[in-house]
Amino acid sequence: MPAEPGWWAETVGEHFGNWTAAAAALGKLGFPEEAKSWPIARLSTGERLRLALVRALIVGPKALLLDEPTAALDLASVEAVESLIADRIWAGLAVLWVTHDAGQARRIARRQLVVEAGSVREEVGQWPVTTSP
Amino acid sequence: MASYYVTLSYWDLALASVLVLIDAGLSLIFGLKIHRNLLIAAIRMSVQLTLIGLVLTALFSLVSPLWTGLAVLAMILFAGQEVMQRQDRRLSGWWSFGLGTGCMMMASVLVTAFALLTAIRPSPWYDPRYAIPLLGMILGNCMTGIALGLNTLTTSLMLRRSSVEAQLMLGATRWDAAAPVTRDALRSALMPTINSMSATGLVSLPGMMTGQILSGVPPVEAVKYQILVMFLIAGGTGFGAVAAVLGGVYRLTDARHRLRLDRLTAAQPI
Repeated sequence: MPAEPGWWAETVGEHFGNWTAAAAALGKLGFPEEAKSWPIARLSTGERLRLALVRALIVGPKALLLDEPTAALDLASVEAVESLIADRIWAGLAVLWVTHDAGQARRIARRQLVVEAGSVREEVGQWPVTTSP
Repeated sequence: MASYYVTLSYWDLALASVLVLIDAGLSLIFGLKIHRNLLIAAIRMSVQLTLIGLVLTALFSLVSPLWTGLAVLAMILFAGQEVMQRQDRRLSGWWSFGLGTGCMMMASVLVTAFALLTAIRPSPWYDPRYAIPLLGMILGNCMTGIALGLNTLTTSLMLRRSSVEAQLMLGATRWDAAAPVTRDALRSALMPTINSMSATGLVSLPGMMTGQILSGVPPVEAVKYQILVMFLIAGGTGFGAVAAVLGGVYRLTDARHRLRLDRLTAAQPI
């Protein structure tokens, strides 16, 4: 998922094949049921990022590449997104998460790779503590 | 059916050319600075048409499949060059010339052969008196359709890159992800043909029909020919545009369902 996700239809609902499944995940990130008819153009950057995340999760991927998925989110949304992804990690999803937030890396990562002066240095991470299976 | 037409003398043409000179005079009066281009274009048109008149006279007297084929090939190659030049962003390498030219050749030759073998049935079937003008009309419209279709495809893919890539990322195939852009490109390609069919007879009288009427063909017969030609143009443009746009999508994506805009050259200066 890129830092600026793309959209191919006018409204939120049109981006989800199965709205019922999407609505459950969207609810966890603070979207009401009527979000289905919201025009994409009206959404804030944070809302778009959260929607794009659910859109990516709903297709049941085996691996997820996330580029700063919480960069434009408020604190409550950051917690919700971290919790949602942590649940999926426990369920077996492989996630490569790019972040500038060292605290977030510590909370989420099982293994941290730090890019420093153009080279990759591995740091020992810890198992996510934000949620339990 | 007796046909009668008024032959024109060179003096008649010279008299009509005064109108172009008046245009040039207006350009001078209003400071438009187009008089030079106008006169060059008028001279070019006269020379080109005179030459093609001589070529057609020779071709019609030969009735040779080889020379007819060569004339057809030359027309298609010129049209291919024109399609390439009308692209803001061109496909890289040989695709730039090859895709438009190949699709135009396929569509216009198929449709012309279809008309020659079914409706018109001249003897021999490749008689250049029928084959060349018919192909010319179909090719001209195919060229416009394919140029518009390919240009819309490449421009839309650039503008809507993130939406196409978002769908690819979520597991859509390259054909599904490019479907909205493909539809837009095909609509653009076919719009001039649809508009021209809608306006013909009400807003405009087509050149071929008018030409036939001026040369003594009864209007009802000329109209039948025109309707046939419009159907052929619609068919040829449709086949050519579909092949070219799908070929464009094929080239601008790959077997791993990635968008490959690196296979486009930079925007051409206008």
